[in-house]
Amino acid sequence: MPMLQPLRAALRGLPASRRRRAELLGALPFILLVGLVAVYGAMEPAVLDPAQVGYQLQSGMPLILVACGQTLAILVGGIDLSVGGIVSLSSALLATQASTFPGGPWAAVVCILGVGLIAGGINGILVTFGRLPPFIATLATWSIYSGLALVVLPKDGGTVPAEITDLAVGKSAGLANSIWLLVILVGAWLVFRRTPFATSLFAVGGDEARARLRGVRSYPVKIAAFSATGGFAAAAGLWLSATTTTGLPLAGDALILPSIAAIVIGGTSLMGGAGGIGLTVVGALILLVLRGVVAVLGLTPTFAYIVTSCLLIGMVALRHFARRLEED
Amino acid sequence: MPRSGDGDWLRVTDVRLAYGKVVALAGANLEAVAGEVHGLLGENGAGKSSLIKILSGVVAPDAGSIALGGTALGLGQPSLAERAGISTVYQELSLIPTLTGAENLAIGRSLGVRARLTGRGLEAHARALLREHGAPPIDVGRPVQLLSFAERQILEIVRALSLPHRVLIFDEATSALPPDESRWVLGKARDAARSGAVVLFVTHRLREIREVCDTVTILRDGATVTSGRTAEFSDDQLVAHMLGRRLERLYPERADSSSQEVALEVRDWTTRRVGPLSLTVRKGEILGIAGLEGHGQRELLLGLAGDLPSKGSMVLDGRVYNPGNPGSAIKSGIMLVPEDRQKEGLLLPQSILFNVALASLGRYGRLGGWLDDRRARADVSAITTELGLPDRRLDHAASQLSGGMMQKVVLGKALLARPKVLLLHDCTRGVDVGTKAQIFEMMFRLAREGVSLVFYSSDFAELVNMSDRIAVMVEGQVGKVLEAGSLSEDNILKVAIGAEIAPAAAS
Repeated sequence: MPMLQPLRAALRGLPASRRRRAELLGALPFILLVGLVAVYGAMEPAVLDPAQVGYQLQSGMPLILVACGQTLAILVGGIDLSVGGIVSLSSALLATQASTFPGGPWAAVVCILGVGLIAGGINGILVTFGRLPPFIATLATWSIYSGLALVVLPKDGGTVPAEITDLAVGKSAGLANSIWLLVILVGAWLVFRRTPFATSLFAVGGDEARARLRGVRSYPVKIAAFSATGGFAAAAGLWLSATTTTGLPLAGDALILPSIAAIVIGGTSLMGGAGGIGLTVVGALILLVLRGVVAVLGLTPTFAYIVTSCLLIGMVALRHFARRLEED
Repeated sequence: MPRSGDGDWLRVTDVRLAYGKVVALAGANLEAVAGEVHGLLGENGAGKSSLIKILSGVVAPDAGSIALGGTALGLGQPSLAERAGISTVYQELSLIPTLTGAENLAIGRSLGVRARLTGRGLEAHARALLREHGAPPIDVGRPVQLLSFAERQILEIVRALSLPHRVLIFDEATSALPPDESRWVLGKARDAARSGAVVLFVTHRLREIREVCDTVTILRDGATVTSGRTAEFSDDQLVAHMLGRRLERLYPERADSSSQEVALEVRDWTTRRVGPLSLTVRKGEILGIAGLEGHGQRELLLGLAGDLPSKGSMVLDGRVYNPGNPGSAIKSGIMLVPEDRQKEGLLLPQSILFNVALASLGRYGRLGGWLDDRRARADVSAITTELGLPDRRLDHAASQLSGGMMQKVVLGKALLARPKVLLLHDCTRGVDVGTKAQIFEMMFRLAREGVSLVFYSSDFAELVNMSDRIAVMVEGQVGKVLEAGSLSEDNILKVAIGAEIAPAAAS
């Protein structure tokens, strides 16, 4: 169409370098992670041994799982504070019910995951049909789920069936199961994010009103996302109890804010609609490696919090700055 | 009656809709047949947008029925409308800002696993769609929020075209597009009609109605006033039906009110993506700013209004003008009516009174910083009355207003601030003829009173009719300033695309 020639010239878009800058920014968490791992390995070569990696992932897995679940709630434009309560509840249920569960311990595991999905689904219903702001809705259910956890198990204790612990701390094909779980998690996400459902998830988070115009039914999408968040939190509680072989009805709360930090450092937008679980895994790993580095340096774990927070501020500020460059 | 057996047809019968006490539709009727482009006309607030929202399933009507080819249409669900084959180019666009163009074109569509699993497949699909529809190339790998408005509008149109459709609705699809792209849209509307779709076309540009619409339906105050073949109506008749009164003329009598006195002098000045340039705005003059989308018009205005950092010299009324932010610009006497009235011009949840008074609050302070509400209300009311906004609505939230009314409130805010130089960013986009005429009248009055206006419009005809001089922007520079005598749409376009102006035309 020759008449569109001047227009083509006008719309030719931005120079490639600006785009490259944006891509570089997206890769920043990866670069940071690789750099940190290199430093960590240089200071203490033993930590790069596969068995060690497996062990560290095993103890970091609850944070990774909670953060991955939280990512889904945030992607649809929400946030879920109740994950802390769900982790505690799931841990308490496993330690009290699994040994005596009618269908055996594995049926208990499935049921507890179901409890997590339902608890998350309730959040989703409050946020959609109930029209409550996610922050308020999940602040309330956080207390409810935490309370239920303490009803089930008033203080740390209970027992976890050995076969469950064996799976969590075991090995398959020479590698720790924690490593396999992480691989499966990231792989599943990479496939999932290309499904039409994932596109509608991003669409709802990006702009709910417009997503509706496009025929996306936003309520089911949001409820599904919150429900999955609850499912992930329940999985985190199961993992926690399985690896510590005890019920921890108060352990979940400590994971809420770090899960959000992991998401932000990974690069998922707190406004919703952009990011993903892949990024969050990178963010969570950065936090875990940082803790390791602080430990190797012989500093108290408290330092890890300070470093993490500085990193959080730095990443957000840097992104904001680069975004402005890109808009110029 | 629709001619049966003659292909598809769409019939809207006595549709009614009210939002609380505000009646949006009070008996809208419409009949359109496949193969024709049917214009839907009316002032802003006449109910066009409401009718389109109903057709596309965004809202359900209170009463009435809609039939498509003999079957009643399921209402109140966008997915139902889509399934029935109604595809809409939304005025406010339905693209998700955080997703890329390619992802946006893939929402709700099964592309096959391979195309899904690789980002490349998605982008190839999007590029193929753009090519198929003869659209200009757009970087479909970028998030939509980083694209220009014109690019987004093109994507929105391609999206609607690419859905299987029996009915295709264009809701002001050309409002932000430069002439060439507008022509492309008109061509697509024609093509769709020719291939057997019912096409509804909403526009405020008379020329486009003439060019593309075979038949028209005119809405006024939520009801259908007339419909028929476009050729049966003169321009005057069309406008008269829309307004319910004869509009004397769209552009008021021109009386050159510009003096040689300089109001704002900009020298070797640069701001983001613009300059270095020099520009003089005379007292009481209307200086038009023209250009193709994205050549620095927005940045020029934002820079002058202090919202973008700039370098170089600016002299306002003989004094050095160096605004660090829009607030200090307003204090110095430069006020901007921004591009996006909803996001940049208004605080939607706040009252009209508050919105109009916002830029002048300093004047209504009383000791201790309390606001003199009575005095502010009196001044605001004087201005809004002139703009045709009844006093009883002053306490309503700005979000309740129609597009044209919103623009009036934004203008009212600028007027109350009593600027020396008023910057207008496409303030007539998507505004009905009646409001436009009022805005033009007001611009001339301001110019007569000695206010200088810098008037950017994407509508070249408006610029030619309103401006004393026109500065045409090309790639962040002033390509040429057209003086009286050489003001024409042809000349604007020629400068904008870098063609020579024939000496005859410049005489």
